[in-house]
Amino acid sequence: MLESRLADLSPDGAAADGGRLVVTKDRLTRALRCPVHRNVDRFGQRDFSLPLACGALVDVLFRQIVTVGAVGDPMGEALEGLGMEGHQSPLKAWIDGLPPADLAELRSEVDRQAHRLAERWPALEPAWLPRTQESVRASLVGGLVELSARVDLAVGRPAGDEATVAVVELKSGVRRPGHRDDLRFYALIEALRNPAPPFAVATYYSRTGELDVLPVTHDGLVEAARRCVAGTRLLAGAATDVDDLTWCPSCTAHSGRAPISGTADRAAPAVLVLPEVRAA
Amino acid sequence: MTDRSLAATAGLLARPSHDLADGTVTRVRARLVSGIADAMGPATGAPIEVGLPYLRQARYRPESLSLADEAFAWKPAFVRRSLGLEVVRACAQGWFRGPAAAVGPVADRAVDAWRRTGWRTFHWEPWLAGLGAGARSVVLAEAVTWATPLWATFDWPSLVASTVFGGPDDRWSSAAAGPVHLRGRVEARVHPSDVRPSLVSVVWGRPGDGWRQELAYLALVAALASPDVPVAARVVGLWPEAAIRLAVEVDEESLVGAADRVVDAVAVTADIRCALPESVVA
Repeated sequence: MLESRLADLSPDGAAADGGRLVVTKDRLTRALRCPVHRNVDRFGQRDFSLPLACGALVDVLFRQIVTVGAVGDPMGEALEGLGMEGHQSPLKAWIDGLPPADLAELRSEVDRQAHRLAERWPALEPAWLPRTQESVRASLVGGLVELSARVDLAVGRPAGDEATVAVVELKSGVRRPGHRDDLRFYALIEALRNPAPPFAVATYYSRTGELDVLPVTHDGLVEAARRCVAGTRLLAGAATDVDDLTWCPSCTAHSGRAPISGTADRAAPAVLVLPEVRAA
Repeated sequence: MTDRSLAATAGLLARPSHDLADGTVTRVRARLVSGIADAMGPATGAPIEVGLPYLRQARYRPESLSLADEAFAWKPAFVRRSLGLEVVRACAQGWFRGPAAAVGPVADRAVDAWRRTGWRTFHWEPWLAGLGAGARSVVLAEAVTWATPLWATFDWPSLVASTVFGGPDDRWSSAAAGPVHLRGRVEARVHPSDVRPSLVSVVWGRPGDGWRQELAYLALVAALASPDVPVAARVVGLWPEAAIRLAVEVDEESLVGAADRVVDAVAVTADIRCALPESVVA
């Protein structure tokens, strides 16, 4: 389905990405917003904010906890870690320049979430092969389109014949329906690049300790593929029927169209709260 | 161990599908040398060090060859390969249950050895020793993520006795090849006593249309650099991001393809140099 519905894309749409149109979850999400909020500029820089900074810092701490099992000074160590990631240097500079009150607010939230993570996130068995910030990509249409993601945590033997991989995305903010679209996008890439799809994809909410587990099903993958086709065509500037589908509720009153609630959660998700399993 | 990794492991140990005719390497070497001389033409300038990244740049992003290299500064991406290889080696020896368990002790051992002896086996030991806990954890995490696909692809414990992880790069230069120096870097050499060795290469990104020559290039440089060692039977490439594993069986045709790819890359560089003022290329 992906190949056939993207086969007519012009190579011109990929020129700015170096000959291939790189599709990420953020680009898809921006492209598939309702026409009022849509942004198909693939290179748009997100505005920095305290929630975004908190998310980046907690991501670093999650990686640290998974890898070495402990955090001492959350804010200090998160900033150190962020400083090691070259692409994050603008964000680090932005944090370094925050007014004292904002910095204190950010530090407080990072500390709170770090302690929750350290208390609740279990030590993973090394034989499960946990790895963090794994870069994954799948090529379509002879390499013209590349689906690309960096998953916060993957466990299970990679590239296996059986569905043994699970992917976890960390979110420091509140739950949103769109997060499951991100999970399905990860599942889709994994399914395309490996002999077997992952058996589960999940979002871990570090504010609350909730783990939202989405089993990977045929219907879920088809849904992800449809969404991917629609977003990719928009990003490529190609014709699509997506305008008939994606008016968000806040814009419905102005458009006169029926609201669309995003992708439906057809597979019953499991929402778990991880117990506190080790001392902070 | 899965059927897939057992099959991949058997592939490393298989007898070569092609025997190399006598004088193969000599013929390919002569072709390479004369091709380099033709490609360089009147171009002058600094030595050209050819490696896989250079071959890819010349083919896919030739405009980048004229850009100055960034000043070197340590970062996690420069550590993950050597630390990751040591992690895989430690796991293959049976000392740890997986890369996540190995990475901390392996890094600590390297730093301790440097502190005791002053000898930098991996070069990054002083840098890693000076990092705080947050930065250090990023380095370790990068190494685990790099090492895991390599660890999971093959049954390394069964290969450990006949495998060298990492090791010095293969290097070849010759007066006849002028300023062109070849360098080959492989992640593992699997050399059972009774068959030609297999080389394993971990590659960033996804395979391009020149992947066969790129893998064969590693066998070519190894053959030129170590004429007394049997020519590799095959080179297996892993592209973990794309979850792709491909292999090229080494025969005269594949070695010629690799040599021609080197010549093409040198020609691209020579063209760029001829177009630039002499002060820029020196």
